[in-house]
Amino acid sequence: MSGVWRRLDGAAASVDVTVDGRAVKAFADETVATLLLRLGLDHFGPHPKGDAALAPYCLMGTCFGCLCTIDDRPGSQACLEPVIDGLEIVTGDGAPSAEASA
Amino acid sequence: MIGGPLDTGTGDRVADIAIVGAGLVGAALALGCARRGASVVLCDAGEDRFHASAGNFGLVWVQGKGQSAPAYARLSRRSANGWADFARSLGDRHGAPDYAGGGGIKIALSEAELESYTTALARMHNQPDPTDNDTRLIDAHELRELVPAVGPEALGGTFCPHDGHADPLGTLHALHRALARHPRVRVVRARIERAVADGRVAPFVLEHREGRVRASRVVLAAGHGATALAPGLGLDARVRPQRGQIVVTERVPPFLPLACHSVRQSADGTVLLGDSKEDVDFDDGTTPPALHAILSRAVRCFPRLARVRVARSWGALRVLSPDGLPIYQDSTRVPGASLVTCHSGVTLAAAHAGEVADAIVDERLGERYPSFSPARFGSSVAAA
Amino acid sequence: MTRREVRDAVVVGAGPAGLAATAVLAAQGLSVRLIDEQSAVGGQVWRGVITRPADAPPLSGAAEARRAHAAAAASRRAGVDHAAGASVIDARRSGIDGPDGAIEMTWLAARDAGGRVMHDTRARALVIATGAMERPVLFPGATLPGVMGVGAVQSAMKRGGLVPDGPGVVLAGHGPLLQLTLSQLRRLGTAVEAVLDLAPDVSVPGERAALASDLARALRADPALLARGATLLAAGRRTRRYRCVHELRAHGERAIERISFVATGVRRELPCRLLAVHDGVVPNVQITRLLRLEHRWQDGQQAFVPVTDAAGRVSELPIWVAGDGGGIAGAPLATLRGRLAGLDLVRALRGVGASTASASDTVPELDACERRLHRAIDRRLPARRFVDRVYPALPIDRHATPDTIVCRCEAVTLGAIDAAIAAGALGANRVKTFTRCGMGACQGRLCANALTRIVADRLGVAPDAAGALRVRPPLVPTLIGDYLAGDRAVGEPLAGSGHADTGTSPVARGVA
Repeated sequence: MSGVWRRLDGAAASVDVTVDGRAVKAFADETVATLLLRLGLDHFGPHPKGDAALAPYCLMGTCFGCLCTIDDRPGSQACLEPVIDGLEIVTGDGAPSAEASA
Repeated sequence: MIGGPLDTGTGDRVADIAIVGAGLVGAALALGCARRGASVVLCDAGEDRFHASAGNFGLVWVQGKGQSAPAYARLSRRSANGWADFARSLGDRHGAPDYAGGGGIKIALSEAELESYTTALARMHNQPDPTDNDTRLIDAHELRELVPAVGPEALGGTFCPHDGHADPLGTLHALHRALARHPRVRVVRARIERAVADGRVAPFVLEHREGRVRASRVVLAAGHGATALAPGLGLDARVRPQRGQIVVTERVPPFLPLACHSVRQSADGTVLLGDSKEDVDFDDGTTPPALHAILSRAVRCFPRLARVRVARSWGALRVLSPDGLPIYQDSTRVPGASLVTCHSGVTLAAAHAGEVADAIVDERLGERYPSFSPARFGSSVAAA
Repeated sequence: MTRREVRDAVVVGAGPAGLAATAVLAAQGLSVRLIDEQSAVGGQVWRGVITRPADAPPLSGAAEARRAHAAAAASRRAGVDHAAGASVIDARRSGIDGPDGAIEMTWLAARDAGGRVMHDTRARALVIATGAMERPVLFPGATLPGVMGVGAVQSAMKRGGLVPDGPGVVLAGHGPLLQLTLSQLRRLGTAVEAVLDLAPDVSVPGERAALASDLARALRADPALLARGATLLAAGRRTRRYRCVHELRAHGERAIERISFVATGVRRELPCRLLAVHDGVVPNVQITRLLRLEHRWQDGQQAFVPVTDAAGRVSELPIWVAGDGGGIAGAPLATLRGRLAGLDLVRALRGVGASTASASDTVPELDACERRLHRAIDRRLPARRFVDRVYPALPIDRHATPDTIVCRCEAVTLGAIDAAIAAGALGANRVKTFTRCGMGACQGRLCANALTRIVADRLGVAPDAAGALRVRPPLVPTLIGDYLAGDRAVGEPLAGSGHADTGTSPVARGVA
């Protein structure tokens, strides 16, 4: 699904984040959700029930379809989180893995 | 009389049994009676307020029940032992009961808790009519074998092989689906406002806003809603609300094979955490201190829960008699009227659909359950 | 460890209404905790204005941007503690109702170096300015990646500087927001493949006459309406448009690949990579529902609206609802309603008829503001009624089939809901009990409106009788660890100052 979204202006991307371990340059005014959309992801995690898709729908904090792990916090709403230097984003966590790591 | 024709008209015919209340208790009784050949009218007020069945934790629990009441201890055990068959009889399509047996655990997080469990168990075991129901103490090692995810603070606990758990909402849904398609059941979706013994037309007339229901016998099984109707039928529904607060989490990959009294993982992966016991009148809200206590204990039992999200919390109002035991009563003042009320609607669902329905159909409810008669409370109910 | 504080007022929402209320409260010397789940102020209509790079052209025009910047100043005023990116977890009425009753809000601060910290704010009054959200459109395939609300496209444009690109961009639905989005997309160079009008045609003579009459009234009250509307409608003229579409369906394996629909009797298919849908907006009532305030069904808007007086106050309680959260009326009115609520709140906290100089300053200003607001409402309401009438909510069954998902979070279909109703679930909460509709992460934000309308339709009862989903805390799924973070034993001092953070101002307490 890459190429559905393009960036409007040509300003330089200056914020350093990682997405699934990859170093990525983000624009200062992006949210994690718009960053991931710009990178070509159309969904950020599996649906907790496993059958339907979990996709971002509202991009304003009401649909909970944009959940991913941000800074080691599972189930974060990507559309509400601004990008900042050093942010670590991991996609694919619709259901948390409550492993024996506590 | 059993097996009368189904009342499909405007109320000309008389059902064998009218059951007021369509929560877990009423619905199970209705299905049980209909399966034994009675024509049943089930009255469902359909209101959400204080609908205890919708807020239940879901334990099918035997250990600790009826510590000094052997009849209750035995009833709980019989019902738990019959739960698997009861669940199967409800079918498995939309709304499965999702019953899981295999035993349950009460975890001890301190020496003091372990001590109090030990004392209580000894007391139950040493009675002339023991009420421990095969419950036994387990040490930290055995606890970890049964439930590997338990945290380091857990010192052991008590285990009862008869315990289990089920989805209360799935059970209620399955019951209602079974009732909707049962040929001898008619469901009237209205709140019964008056229940009168009327010898002229039919033994009982139950009035609601859009008409009336006529039946040869009536059973009140409406939880808190029975209080208003009981006196007029010579019944003693002296129950009070006791709030329990519950938390449910998002879905988590399976980690908890057995119910642990205040933590259980449902079949769909969500984890339920409880519980509290508060006397707060009819207030089904939640409070931060109780929430905190529930979550705190849950994480002490299972540290991994710290990374799991709470999806919702609620308060539910137990239907509690003065001694916590059920009230099963045949009215002496108004023959043909009966009362069935308890706070363990899930645990006793199998019994309600089975032996208790038997007793109702045989008109021997009070006779078969003398320990649950309200006469045990001493004073008698004032006539309406 | 929960951080506790006391303030005169809590304002939830930093859109036009919340900012306006905050400005008034701060100007009157009250201490305010402003909680907003967005990371920058502006709500939806001014989304991205504050964070927009200075060299980027404003999306909504320079005047609107100036208004937004001016309003945003409220969050930086003395006496205002702005919690950006914070989520309200719980709201409680504690103690006695009435002017001295207290409100308690539990909220989770935005992530910082120490993780997200839980806060408890106790306040004498609460302003709820949570705005509106989109009414989802029900059709098969709507949960596929690549299907979004038009509001999401707006959000991506405003905050993120993104615009849909390439072939296969389709808009479907109706309403001013869709028209606005279409005109913006065209201005930004996006080729929109098609616009699908999903509503049935207005074919009943009586309806046409009523529409014309409403339009006439609206134009008399606000002559500029025609110009604004014409501009919007003109934007779509060169785009292929299908009318009276039904049986809309989105198809694709992992994401949307094409759509199918019926228009003028012909079944059609279009390749599609992004489908933006819209069926109007509804008030966000999560907090008003959580507080168990009274709501009534607003037929014109096909949504529940909290019951308030003309100033936005909820009966005798120290709770005000301002902006679209109290009923959809649009952004310009939101600012005025926020201002009015703020003034009414100040008057209520000080007590009407108080003899202090500051109180008598308030009353004439309040009266003048009320008069201006009523004039503004009178001018704009006919247009709102016209819009509501032209764009009524889509009938549930127009595009939804039994396999259509109604509750996205729990994947509950219309068929499952109908089966539950057949099994005796004769109300929204009973349907929830039987199907899990509304039990997922969004807590019914997206499905509650549809569920009420479905139940009302199936049972042939009014939506008030069909019921609304009960809202329970936490308002957003919350990590158990966040509830327990930094737990200490009872009795230890609070973090930081060693004494309770009591932020109530002498002015508000009426001390001379």
